[in-house]
This record gives sequence, C-alpha cells and structure tokens, in this order.
Amino acid sequence: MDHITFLVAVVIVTALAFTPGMIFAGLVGAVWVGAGSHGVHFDKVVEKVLIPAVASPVVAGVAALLATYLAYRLTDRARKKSVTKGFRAGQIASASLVSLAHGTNDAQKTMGVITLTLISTGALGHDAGPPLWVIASAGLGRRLAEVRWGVAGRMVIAWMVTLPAAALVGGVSASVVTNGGNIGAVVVALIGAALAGGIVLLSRRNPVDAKNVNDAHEVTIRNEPPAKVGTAA
Amino acid sequence: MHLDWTALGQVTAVSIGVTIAAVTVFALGVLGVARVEAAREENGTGSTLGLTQAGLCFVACAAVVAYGIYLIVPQFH
Repeated sequence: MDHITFLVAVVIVTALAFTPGMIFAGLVGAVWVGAGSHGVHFDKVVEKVLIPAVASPVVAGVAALLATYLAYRLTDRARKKSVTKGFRAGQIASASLVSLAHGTNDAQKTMGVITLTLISTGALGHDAGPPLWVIASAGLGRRLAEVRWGVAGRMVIAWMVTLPAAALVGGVSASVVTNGGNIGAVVVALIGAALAGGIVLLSRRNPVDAKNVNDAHEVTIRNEPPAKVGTAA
Repeated sequence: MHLDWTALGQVTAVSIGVTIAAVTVFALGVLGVARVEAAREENGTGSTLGLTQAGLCFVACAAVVAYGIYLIVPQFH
C-alpha cells in the first residue's frame, strides 16, 4: 500500500478521534515543519481562529445568562406544574437544535481537513470538493468521537495543554513522514490508529448513554466494590 | 493584523438579541398554557385568552426555528 494512502488513513483516524481545535493545532504544527514558520500565517490564526474561539463562549454565556434570568422572572408566579412541563418540552427542542448546529459544523470541519490532506498530497486536484466517501465517513466517525468536556475552566486547561501537544504531534508526524519515507508514514499511521483505538476503549469502560448523560462530569474509570461496613451489634 | 470589529459586533448583537427574544416569547407561550390550566383547575373551563397567547407565541417560536434551520442548511440556498 502506498504511503499516500497511509497518510490519508492517519489523518482520517486522528481527525475522527480528536476535536476540531486539536485538528487545527495539528495542522499548524505540520505546516510549520513542512513549510517553515513562514508557511503559517500567525496573524490570520489569531484573527480567524483564536479571537472567535475566545469571543464565542463569552457571547453565548452572556446570551444564556440574560435569557435564563428573563425566563425565571417571567414565569416566577405562574402555575408551577404547567411551567415545568412547558420548559421540559422546550428543552427537548433546544437540545435537538444544539445537536443540529454542532453536527452541521463539526462534520464540515472534519471533511475540510481530510479534503485538505488529499489535495496537498496530490490525490485530489486543486479545485476539488470533498469526495463522497469523505462525507460519509465524517458522519460515521462523529458518533465515535463524541467526547463530553466538563466545566469551562477544565476546558481552558485542556486546550492549553492539548493545543501545543497537538501541534507537536503534527510537527513530529510530518517530520517522520518527510524523512522516513514509506516506513515513516506506516509508523505514524499505526501510532495514530493505536492512540485512537486506546482512547475509544478507555471511554467504553464507563459509557455515556441516555441514563447518565446529564450526570456530574467526574467519572471514575475503575469501579471498586463498596467496602463492607459492619453494623453495630 | 486587521480585525473586522464591525462583523464581530454585529454577530454579538444579533446572537444576544435573538436568543433573548426567542426565550422571552417561549416563556410567554408557557405562561399562556399555565393560564389555561389554572383556569381549568379553578372553573372547569379553559381560558381563551391563555390559549390564544400560547398559540401565537409558539407559532412565533416555530417560525424563528424554521428560519434558523433555513439559514444553516446549505441545500436551501
């Protein structure tokens, strides 16, 4: 199997396993190694990625704060049972819309990265759109890749740790592929697949399903049987 | 580095504005339902005012949702 196919496999596996922000960081790292630091337009990165990434949680937070406050104030003195029932129905609707917005966004990003890889290795022409199999696998992969992040602070810390890490991984992978030829590409592909598989296996130890999806964010991976407590005679 | 502050400001204003408006209208609709059910508890009959209020508000919410979906889905353009 030629090294382009393996490179594509690596990108697909990592793209499906990591969140879009990490994909982007990986891209920056890989381009940095591949084309030198002038290959990365850092001012564009700040302008089009970092600033919106910081601004959007703030905007969403303010909107949610005001809307929730208003909802509470308006329905404060009304019949409790009706209000509860009404907002429960509303929550189903808004949760569905959140899924729609998130899905139409994430899959596009994944498809874009995969298509970018294909074009840059010459497997696709310059003006090509995403191939059908990319579109189909982006939809499939999303279910495997659903990760629930926790509270905002934990998210920020996670970003601060994993963004440079992802850039590093992207850079190292690119360097291995450039210098190692076919064997380099195979090694990177295998490591990527192993990491992705390992992460999926770990997450299956305590799966998130409809019963516990709204529980607290901290989950113990190892379940120990409760210690036997003796009763007083 | 050039930042399009106008665009950023517009997105912020519209996001916050539409969110608040949609939730307020929905809350008013729920209040309408509450009015109907409270009247039913007290008198045995419903409340036409409450029903109209709920109906109008929920139709408005559905319209906002439909417009949002129309904006997001590329097949509609």
